[in-house]
Amino acid sequence: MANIFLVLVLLTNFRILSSSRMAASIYWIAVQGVLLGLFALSAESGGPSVEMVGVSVTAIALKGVIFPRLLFRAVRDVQVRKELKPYVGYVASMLIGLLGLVGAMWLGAHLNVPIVGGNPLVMQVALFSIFAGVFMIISRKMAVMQVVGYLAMGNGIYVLGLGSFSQTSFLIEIGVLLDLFVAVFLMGITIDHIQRAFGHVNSHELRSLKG
Amino acid sequence: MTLWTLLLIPVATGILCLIPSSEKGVLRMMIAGVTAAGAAGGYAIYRVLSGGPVYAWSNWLFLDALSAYHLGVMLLVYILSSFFAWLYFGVELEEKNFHLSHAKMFCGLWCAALAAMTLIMVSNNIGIMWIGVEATTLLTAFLIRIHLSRYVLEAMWKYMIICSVGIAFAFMGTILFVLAMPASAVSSNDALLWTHLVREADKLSPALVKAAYIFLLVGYGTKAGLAPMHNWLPDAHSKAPAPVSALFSGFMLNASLYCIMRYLPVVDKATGGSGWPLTFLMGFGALSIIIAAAFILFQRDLKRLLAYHSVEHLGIITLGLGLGGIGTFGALFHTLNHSLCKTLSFFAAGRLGQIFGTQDMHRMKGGMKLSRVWGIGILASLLALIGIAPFSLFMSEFQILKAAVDGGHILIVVIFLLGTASVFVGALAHAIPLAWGQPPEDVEKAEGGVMDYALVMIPLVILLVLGVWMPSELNQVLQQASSILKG
Repeated sequence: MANIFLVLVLLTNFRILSSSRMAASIYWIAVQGVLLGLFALSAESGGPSVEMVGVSVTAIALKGVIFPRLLFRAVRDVQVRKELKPYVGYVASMLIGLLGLVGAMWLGAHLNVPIVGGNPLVMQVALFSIFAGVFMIISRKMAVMQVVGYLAMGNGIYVLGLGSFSQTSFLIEIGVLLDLFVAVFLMGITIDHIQRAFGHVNSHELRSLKG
Repeated sequence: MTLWTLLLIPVATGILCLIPSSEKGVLRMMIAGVTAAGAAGGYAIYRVLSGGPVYAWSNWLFLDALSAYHLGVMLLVYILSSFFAWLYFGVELEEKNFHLSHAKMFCGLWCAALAAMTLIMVSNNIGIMWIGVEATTLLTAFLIRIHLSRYVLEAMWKYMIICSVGIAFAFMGTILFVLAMPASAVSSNDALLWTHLVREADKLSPALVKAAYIFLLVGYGTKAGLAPMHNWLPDAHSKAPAPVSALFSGFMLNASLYCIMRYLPVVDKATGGSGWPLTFLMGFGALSIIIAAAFILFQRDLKRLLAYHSVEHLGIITLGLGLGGIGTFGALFHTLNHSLCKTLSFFAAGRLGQIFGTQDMHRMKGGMKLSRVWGIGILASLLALIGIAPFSLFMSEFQILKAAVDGGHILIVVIFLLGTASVFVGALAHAIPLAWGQPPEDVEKAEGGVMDYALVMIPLVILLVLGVWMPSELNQVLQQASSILKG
């Protein structure tokens, strides 16, 4: 069951990489958040512990509901809701994504990380999500799309954190989720400020400061 | 209780800063809180120096010589910058450009950032330490935007995105570090404790430790402003209010570098004690010096110039750490020297910026004629930054250079000398007209009061004294901190 959720997380990354519409990207990153919450419940072989249920519920609430609402709120007054000319086009993004996936599969299989349950797919999906997220941040001009990339990257790290859960602590996992919450909250406020000051949320135009 | 006090005082002060009904009342509250935190910190440092490491909260919090030294530097920078904030915002208050909402926002975030940075210093848990760095980023991002403008938003966005990605990389490294430990060797409670990791370092998987270290170095290195991940730094430093720039450059960068330092003895031991992690530090350090030197030559904006000096000096510190031996001692000593000097230079840049109404050095000429105290401040701090004797920066840079020569690192010696020579020429070309040029006719003179003189003279006197004489207590704490880094 855990593998099904992981494969779905992987597919949502491709969906986000291919999406030009802000609303669709926010929607799919929310779906990914819910899938991660469900993965947390199915990650432990003997059924989820109380701590894991706590992590799962927090992840679904934050990643699946609160973050998307914050982002939708930040872009409610934005006129242009599509990213028409990213630095890297959508077909090229998918191809680069495929290359990233091959790299993540190879690296995940060879890094020999002692993931809980010995499932190499955890490391592979984590690495691919981090790659997809960083690529989104670099290749997109719209500030909202960069935040979606940041969330995808955070989701990858979250998968890896869950894979090592028995060796880390519940407090740290929750602390990281809350930290991410504050980050997205503040990024949302900043996007709102950018929209008011510039009349758009295109980070490509934020290039007055040079040298 | 001592360590908890260090965290609770700034948190409580941050909340109390929301109560006063006047701008000056809020600033007074903030200064009182920071000073109290300074006193509590002084007591904690005294306990560490006299009786060894202090522990709290099931060993999740601790203070040893390395963290006590950094805590001392941080509190010094914080106290000086808090008094400067009184002066700086006092001018804005007279110009009706600083309101109660600004004061509450600034002081609340200022105190919260102090708590977050203290958390980094007192954390024995590498996960909590990471949370402290992330919290620092988020809190200080909004310190940049006290006065909102298009440029400020641009600087803030770059800072948030680039540093958040960097810190996410650091978290990835933290997780890989934990995964490098065999499950049988740890219980879940102490898996993330630094003291435990140091003890059990030889049981860690070398391959995973190496992978983790790369992520940590890139991640924390981004926040420390090491090239080539430094792009956010000149924008954030130049667009933030001067007290915030002083804090950014004076200590926030060092807080991230401190996190890298913590991993050095563990990684070195886990990878066979061959000095594997140090090579990367030398590379990042040398690259930072070269890139900063190139940009310093062509700067027009005074605060951007100082920001590139930060890239250079953080590079010098990183290089010293990478060289090891006396280089480690020199790097730690340089941390204090650079923090003090950069705090002073941003104070002077901030006040001169207010006097000239610009940060453009083509217009900022004859600072000495307009304000003797801040003219001296900018000139002396620029001279110290380029390594002129007898300022203590000369001594620490000399120690690092000696470590490079002793270790036979000829290429590093050449890069260091070329980089610092370029910076010397570039910064001096800016400093002379800045101090003695012909000031614009439309700019009025602004002489300083007692506090202006105190804020210039205190750091300057310390830098001069440390250049010719090192107190035995400072030598002792630097030796102890160096030995912690050497494992």
